[in-house]
This record gives sequence, structure tokens and C-alpha cells, in this order.
Amino acid sequence: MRLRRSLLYVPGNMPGMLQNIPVFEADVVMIDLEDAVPLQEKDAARLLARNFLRSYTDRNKEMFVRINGLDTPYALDDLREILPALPDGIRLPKADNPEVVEKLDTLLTEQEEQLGLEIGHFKIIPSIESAQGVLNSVATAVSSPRLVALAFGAEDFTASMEIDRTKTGEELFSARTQIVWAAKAAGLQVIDTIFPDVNDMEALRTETALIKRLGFTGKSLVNPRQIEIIHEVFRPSAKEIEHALEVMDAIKRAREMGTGVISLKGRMVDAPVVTRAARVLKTAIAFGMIDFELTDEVIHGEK
Amino acid sequence: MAKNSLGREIPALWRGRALDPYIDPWSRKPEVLRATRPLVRRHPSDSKLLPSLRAALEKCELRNGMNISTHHHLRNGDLLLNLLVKEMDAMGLMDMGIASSSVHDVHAEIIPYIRKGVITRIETGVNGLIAQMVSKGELKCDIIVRSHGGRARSLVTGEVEVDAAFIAAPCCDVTGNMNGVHGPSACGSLGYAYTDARYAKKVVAVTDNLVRYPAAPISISQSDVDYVVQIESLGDPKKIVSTTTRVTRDPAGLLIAKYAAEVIHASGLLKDGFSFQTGAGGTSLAVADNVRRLMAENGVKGSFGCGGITGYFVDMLEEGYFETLFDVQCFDNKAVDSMRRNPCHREISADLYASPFNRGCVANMLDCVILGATEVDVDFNVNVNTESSGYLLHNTGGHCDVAAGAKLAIVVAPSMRGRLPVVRDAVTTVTTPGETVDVIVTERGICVSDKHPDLVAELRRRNLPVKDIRQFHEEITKVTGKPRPVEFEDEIVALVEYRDGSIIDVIRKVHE
Repeated sequence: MRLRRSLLYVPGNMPGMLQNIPVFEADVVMIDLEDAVPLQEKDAARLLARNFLRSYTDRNKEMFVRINGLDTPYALDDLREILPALPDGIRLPKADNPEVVEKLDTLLTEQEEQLGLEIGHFKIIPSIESAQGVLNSVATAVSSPRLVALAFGAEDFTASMEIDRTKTGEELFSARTQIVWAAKAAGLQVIDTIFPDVNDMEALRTETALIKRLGFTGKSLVNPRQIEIIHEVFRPSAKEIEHALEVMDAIKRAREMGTGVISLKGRMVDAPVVTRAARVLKTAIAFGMIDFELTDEVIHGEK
Repeated sequence: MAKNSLGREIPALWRGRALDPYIDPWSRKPEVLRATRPLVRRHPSDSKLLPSLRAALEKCELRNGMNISTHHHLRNGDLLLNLLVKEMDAMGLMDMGIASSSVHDVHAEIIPYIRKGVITRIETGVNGLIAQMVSKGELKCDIIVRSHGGRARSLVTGEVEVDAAFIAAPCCDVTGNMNGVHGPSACGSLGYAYTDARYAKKVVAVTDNLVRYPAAPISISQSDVDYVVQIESLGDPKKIVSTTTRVTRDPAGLLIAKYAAEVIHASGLLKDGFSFQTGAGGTSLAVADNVRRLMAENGVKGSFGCGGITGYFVDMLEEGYFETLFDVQCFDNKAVDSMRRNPCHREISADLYASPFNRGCVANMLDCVILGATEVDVDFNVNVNTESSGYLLHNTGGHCDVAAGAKLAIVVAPSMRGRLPVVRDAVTTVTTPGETVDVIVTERGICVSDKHPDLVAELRRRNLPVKDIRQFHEEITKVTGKPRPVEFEDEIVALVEYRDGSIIDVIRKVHE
């Protein structure tokens, strides 16, 4: 499982910030050619991003590029400049419907053929940013085998809804759940929107805890200072890990006794509980927090 | 011209003084007794009170070529040095030396008097414009850069004779008892002035807050003070303790701080009795913030915090992270207030803080210190005096003193400033020798001196980005390119004295 807890935007037109990309511990960096870059700097940002990606050969994180929307005159130039510098994938804004993703898929395939790359090399994370996008998210989630995650963009979404975004985010609840369902049904990771107030760490923590409970697997962010809190929230706690290990131990004993269900500290342990525990352990293993061999057999029992 | 042990060219003589090239941090020993000052006897009816600075300057019998001193606790709010220089000019004095504990931007007012020849030497480091102009050759004024400990040493040994010390006293009585914690110009600790009070030939207390006898608490006592002068104002209170002391918000700075705290944790020094010094800069405070968190998580109770004290350290004292603060200089009002009311917040002299030539300074008891740098080099030498422009711009402060004293001296700096790499083949100026520096922490990597293989192993075990300093230097210059070296002329405009009085480097005029 590839961890994508933190997806950091770095403006493509800021060389000082680009050069610090190797330093920060985000799982994914998304060089932004879209909203952070003013129109008169689109071409400069493209070149800077390309040059940075070319020189950044010793990569310690996944590199995505947020191109301009496919409905703008910039997107094709973005792809032409950026793809030869081999980013891991494209963050596609305004993915309002599956056709937009399919169109990008085709463009990526063309470039892969030209560059002599394996088809499917470039991944896509589409960004759901409008009411239409939310309603179409189920179809969008299965629109291309290149997808690794669905992302939610609340700033554009609230604009399309003609509402304000609040710190507590009640207005986002429905959209978030819908996107999580669409992603989970398609077997994708799912990335929450940015939290814009870079000085309110407690509210960031609260929001991250909320979206983790909803099922999101990661969060976009705009300032490196936010990385640590997001990682902290997504890191399973020692208590969760301990409990998951107890569950595994209990179900093993149950199976030895010839049953699929057993009581642990007064609570029933059966297959769904084991699946959840296995998920905690998988995450803990991916974080390097525990050394545990988690096979299908351990999770589901011997056939 | 001989090379010192760091390969820096040091002339045998400069302005008539025979120079002793730096050899190593430890071997130079004092061969003199303490300097003395004349004893005097005061009749109970004698008054020390004089009507003006002019009267005090006359009473001190100053003649051409002598030295005066002030302290820099009022920093950029200080008015006293400027007033004194103008008075000396009015009296027709020439070729005077300033042996103050530091000279700041606010003292740019004395530039015309340097041009005129009233002032010809500054026996301490200089911050800002005066130093820059001297580096460019626009101003003739001999500068000897000394650390806080080195300055104290030079007064105690008599290498620098202060003929008259003028001590700005925020609270003072008619006999000269004084403290820095009361009054409109309160600056807290008077640590740097203690040495002047004991070794200057004449000591004048200058106050804007003359209180009824006795001024209490007594920091510097009447037994050391010759005269007392009342003036309208010692300085601009807004600039006296105005250093903005806030934890940085810069993500790279925060990463540096996190790494530095991890280094301290990994060193094994973070246990009960831990002692610590850090500066007032944003990154240094962020280190303190991380250290506080680690102390809380690990239940560590420290012994003392030291150096220039900020509100941040005051909080750590009050929350029980440290038992004592040793304060040579207060950086903000919270520190001044704390020193006024908390007996565990101790005012200490620069001599006790950092002098190499006494029976043991506080710096020697430090476990860990966080230091800054304008440049570092592949031999761990650190520059804080000049910048890559070659201009002298900053004073040493306690940098080389605490680096020598502390068990673990950590230098924190961004790997590049603007488009210049901070790690160099060789620093422009050596302030602090690499022999006394243990770790350099940047946002892109941690470089550890060969002295600490165990620390390297532990940092690697913790998955921290430990890098060989030469490889790291190459990595950074790949990004920045190799800057063209600054060109210097032969003329030496300033000496950089190591804390023991040997010459660790010289500063030459920049070729414009």
C-alpha cells in the first residue's frame, strides 16, 4: 500500500519553494500550474517545474503536477512541457465528469507512446470540485485505470454551490461522504481538500480527524507546517495497534477452536472486526511502526 | 606574516600591537595577575553627584588617547554613547577609544566624530553600519572583535584599560548603587557592566531614575562607583527590549528546529540536570519549543538555562523545566519582569558567564547550546562576523565562548541564503573554530563532527538525514552553483580575537 496521507501543493512559479521540495516529508508533492500561478506566469511556471523535475532525480516522494483545466488554453502546453520530465502523475482539476478524465487518459497515452514509456506510467488523481462533479463521482471513479485516488476540492466546490466554507465544514459533509463512497466502491484512495488557515493547527487537527473518520486516506495541503499534524492524525495510535494485534490473536484462537467468532474483553470479534484490525495493521506496517507478517491467511483463516 | 593553526594569515604586528596567532582553543594560559584599579577613600560627607556628563568626563581626567566604555543592555535604544562622544568632541579630546561591550546601529551618530579623529578605535565588535563602512575603507577606525567572554578577559587581564566606564543605570541612588530592573529604561540584567565596574579606572553611574538611598536590589554597588550623573533619559524604551522573540513560522526553519531537537535527544544529554542555551532568533526559539516538548514527554527536569534570556526561557523556568536561569542580558520585557521578582532568575556578569581566564565560567557547565552562523565550512569553522559580502556586520556575542564550554555545540542555519550556499570550502572569517563545534543542522541534512561516531550511529538509527559535510557541501553547491569569492585588499581593518586573546582571523578591506 502506497501511503498518500499528505499531498502538498507547491506553486510552480516560485523557484525558492520548488528547491525545498526534497526537504519536506509530505508523501506527495503536487507542483501547481493552475490556481496558484497568475496568467502572465503560466509559461515560466511550466519551465521551472519541468527543470526542477529533471534535476530532481533522487526522488524521495511521489511527484504530481496540477495542470490547468482541460477546458483552458494552457493544459496541452502544460502536459507537453511537464511529461518528458517524468512526474509520477497528474492532478486533474475540474474533473466534473468521466469524459474529462478519459480525455486526459488519451493525452497521456499519446505522450507515453512518444516518450517510449509503458502505457499507464502516468497516474491520475482527479479533483472533484463542483456539484456536478460530486454527482458524477461514481462514474468518474471508474473512468480510467490510471486513477489512484479521488480528490475533493472544497474551495471551488463551495463557489459552485454559492455558499461559504466554514471552519467546521458542515456544508461539505454530504459531498465528502459521496466522494468517499465513490472512491471506496472503485477501490481507490480518497484525498480531502486543503485546510486554508495555516495558523490554526488545532482546527486542522479537528478537520483531519473528522475526514479520517469519514474514510479519507489523505489530505491536500498548502503549507509544509501542516504535514506533521496530518501525519500524526493518520498514524494509528499505539492503543489502536495493540487492540488490532489482540483481535488477530483472538481470531487465531477462535479458528483453532473451530469457530469464526470469539469474545474479546466483552466485545464480539468476527470477520468485519478482523478486516478493520487488518487495515490498522497494514497502515502501521506501511508507517514502519510494527514488524508483523500480515498474510491473507492471517486475515481470513485457512481455506 | 605567519599562518595560525587554521591557515589564516596573521601579521606579527598591527597598529603597534604584537599579535599572538591562534593555536587551539585550550592551550593559551594567562601569565598575569588581575588588573588593578586605584583605591580611594571617601569621607562620609563627600558627594558623588555631578551635574552633567561634561562634569563627569572632566572629573575622570580624560586625556587624548584614552578609552571609555559603556554597556549595550539598552541595545538600539541607547543614547548614552552618542552623548558621551559629542561631549568628548566638545572638550577637544582626540584619538579616543571605545571599549564598550558592543556598538549598535543606533551609534551611527558617532560616524562624523570618527571622521574627525575624536574616535579612532573600537575595542569590541561592531554591529551594522560603522563596521560596514570600515570594511569598505570609507571610515578609518581600528576594530578588535571580541566575544563577551573575551572582552571580560581583556579587562580583567588589563589588556584593555578602561579609563572611564559610564554605566547606564536604569535605577540608581546617589552613592551609585544600581540595578537594571526598575525605572523607565529598565533593561534587566547589567551583566556586561559588572566587569567595567570592577576594572575601570573610574566608574560613573549615569541614570534617568535617581531613587532614594538605597537603590535595591543592588546589582553593582556603591563601593565600585566614583560618580553619579542624572540625565533626562538613558534611551528609547521601545528599542531597549524590542527584539522580536517569536518562534519562526518558516517551514524550513521549523524543520531545522525539529532536527536540532532530535540531535539533542539522540546525544543522551537530555536527562535530569540538563542545561541549555539558545538565542533569541525564530529558529533558536523553535528549537527551545521542541526541547520543551521532549523534556515534557520524557519527564526531564533541567538544571539551568543560560545566556541572553527571553520570555520563552522564563516560561520554561516557571513551568519547572529549569531550576535556574543565568542571565547576562534580557531580550524582552518578560525577562526583565521575571528577574525583578524571581530569585531563581539570576543576573550574572560576563566574566562569570564566559571568560576563559577565571576559575571556571558558567559556559563550561552547559550541556548543549544552539548557535547561529552566517557561514560554516567543511572543517566546521563558523563565521558570524562577516557575511559572504566580506563586510564586517555582526558582533561575536558569546558564540565562541559557549561553543568551547558546552558539551554539545549545535549550529543551526538554512542550507542556503538567497542564492548563496551557507556551507563553504572555507568561511570568509573564522569566529568560532571547528574544534569546538559538534553538529551543523540545516533543513537538508545534519553534519556531525568526527568526534562523535556514536551520535552519528544513533541519528542514522532514527532515520535522520546525517550527511558527510564535504558531500553535503557538494550537494548544496549543485543547487546554488559556486559563488565567486569576494576580493580583498591587503589592508587589515579589524582583528578577530579568540576568547583567549590570540588572533583567530583578520578582516581585510573589501576590494570594491
